[in-house]
Amino acid sequence: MKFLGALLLLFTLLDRILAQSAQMLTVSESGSRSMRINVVFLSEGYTETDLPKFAGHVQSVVNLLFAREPWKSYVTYCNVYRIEIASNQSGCDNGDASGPGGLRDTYFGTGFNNSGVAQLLTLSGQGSSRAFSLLNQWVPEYDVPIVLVNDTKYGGSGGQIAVASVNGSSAAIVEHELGHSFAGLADEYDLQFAGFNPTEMPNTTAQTNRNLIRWKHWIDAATPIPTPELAANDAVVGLFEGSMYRTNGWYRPHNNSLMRNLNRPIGAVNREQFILNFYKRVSVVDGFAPATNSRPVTGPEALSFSVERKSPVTEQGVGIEWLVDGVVQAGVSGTNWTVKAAQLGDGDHSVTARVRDLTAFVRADPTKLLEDSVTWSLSVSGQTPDSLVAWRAAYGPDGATPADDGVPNLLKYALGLDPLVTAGRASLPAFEWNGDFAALRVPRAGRREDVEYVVEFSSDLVTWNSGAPVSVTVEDSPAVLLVRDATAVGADGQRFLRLLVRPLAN
Amino acid sequence: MNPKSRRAWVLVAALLMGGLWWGRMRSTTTESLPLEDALGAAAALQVHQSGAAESLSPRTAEAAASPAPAIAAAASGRQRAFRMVLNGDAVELEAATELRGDFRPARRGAIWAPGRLCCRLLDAEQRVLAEDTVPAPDFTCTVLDGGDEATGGAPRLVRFTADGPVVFQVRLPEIPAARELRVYRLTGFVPPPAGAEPAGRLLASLALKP
Repeated sequence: MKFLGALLLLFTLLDRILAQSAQMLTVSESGSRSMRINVVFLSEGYTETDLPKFAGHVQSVVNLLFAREPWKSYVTYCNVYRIEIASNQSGCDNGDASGPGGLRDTYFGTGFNNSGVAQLLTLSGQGSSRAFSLLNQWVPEYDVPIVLVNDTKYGGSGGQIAVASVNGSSAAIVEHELGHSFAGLADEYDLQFAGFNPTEMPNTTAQTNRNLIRWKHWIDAATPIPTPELAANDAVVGLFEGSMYRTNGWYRPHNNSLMRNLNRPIGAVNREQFILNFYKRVSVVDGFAPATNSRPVTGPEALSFSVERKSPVTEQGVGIEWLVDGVVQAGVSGTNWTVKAAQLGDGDHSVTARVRDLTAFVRADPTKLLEDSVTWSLSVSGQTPDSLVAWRAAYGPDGATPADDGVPNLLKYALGLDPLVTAGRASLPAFEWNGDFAALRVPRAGRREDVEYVVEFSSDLVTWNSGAPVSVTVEDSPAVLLVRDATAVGADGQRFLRLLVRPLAN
Repeated sequence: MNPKSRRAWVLVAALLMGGLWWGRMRSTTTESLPLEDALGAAAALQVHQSGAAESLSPRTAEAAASPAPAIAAAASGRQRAFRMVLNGDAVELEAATELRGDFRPARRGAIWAPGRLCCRLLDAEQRVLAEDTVPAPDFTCTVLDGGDEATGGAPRLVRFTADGPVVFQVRLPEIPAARELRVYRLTGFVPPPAGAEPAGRLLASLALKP
């Protein structure tokens, strides 16, 4: 029987050990982890029996957090995961499940009443180490780790890992604590606490000169400085006295924001800091094509570029500009852009996609965090100018023949021939029969938009006619223009054909 | 118990434990898990379908190399986590762990602000190899708490910061030449010039094994 008892004990221990193996589940994923803010929930005080409830508890916190700004507008910037690990007992120390003074055997060793503060719910030292170990194993790219404690007593705490109970009000503590740990914000309470060393922070200042206040871009000219601490000013950005644990001499931008009072709006200045901190971590650009940023272009070619951008849920959205050699291309704002290499011309060029979050929530972005750009460097050769104006500038007037081959510049432009090389017969317009009809075939590198191609017909070389009813266009593609006589040539008749190229008025 | 029946019991126990082990391990590696319900109108997170399968195993360097918008190619697959204990102004290194994942490239450097700790890797010649900042886990946080049921919802001041010792972790690039890890408590929010000491107090200088 002793042997059986030992086996039973071994079996129980093994079950306990194995019960504490974790699994990670994706709650929602909007992009690769390196391109997103990764929010990770860890379960605490859930027994194996309790664990099925964890998903719903996580969802409640997610719903609250992402219903509030700025998380609401930037929900697509976030991935959310949950790591499930069972505890031996439900709840936590000094919670509703344990009762006051009661201790529970839980994986992260959390408990209320830390430092005598009833709702201060913290991880034990070993629990913190365990939390980091799980994060390292499952989501080492974590940005916002949150331990969710399966106890209905209200409470939580901040720090590198936020802690909250499943009490419906506890998520507000997480929201506030992320102001510190994620956005680098200070509390805005005006408590006097001599032991605290006041310092300038994004939402605190000792500065009272309106023009030197860090958040002056949010203060209306009509707002008095300092700003009266009245409920009527709760929605106003100003300079309210009391912050940095000083009741005077230090100021805050909001009368009553989330950084002062739980369940309050975040405030415009703090919201701006959150968004800047999103962009300190991730770019507004998710990807681009072609992937190679530098390449030679040796002939006529349509060059296509694209960027993949993030999509904040804001009215203003994300703007895209395309630049060639630093010059913004008017009227081009899509995620894709195509340009003919000939438009760039021979030489070294850069094509840049400049992407920017246009949110009204950020008014000051001195280091352009909300912006990112992708630049392709191109070494272009073998191109001919793509406009008659540029052609004339490069090769001279329309009647000139730089190659001395009798083919004038204007015709070479229309046909896409190299002006400096003798034109071959095959590259010039040629007579052909089209059934019983005399026809002129005009080969061309492409249809020029700033010249007119007219095939004319004559019986006497004196009077020339074109268009219906004299002629019929058989083909008019970028590569070929084929026009035939409308009347079949008789046995004794004679017809003359010619191509007229005429510049179109600009 | 005779030897024959003991052997039988051992066999039964081994089978039971094996079955238990297999069952547990299976739940962490192969179980097919549903994606969550939609987040609701306000929280319209797009669900990345391929994420469901990949979520079942820890990220590896191979997994990190997966879908590839070109910009992600700059991301790194390897880092080192330094887990430390902060007690007042004393810092001890608890563990150093190699991490593999889909780490993002640094965008605009670390976040410099009071209330954060700066952690720097240095080589044997005291050159700064890498640095990052993390929220100081003991940074004072006091807020009007309106969720306190004991007061019937009347806001009262509550401190939400734990007393030390507290554990924190910093993730830094994996650099073989690193010989020292320094930890500073920051007092300013202006980044120091390259190589200069941060505005703040040096809390610890921890030797790292080659």
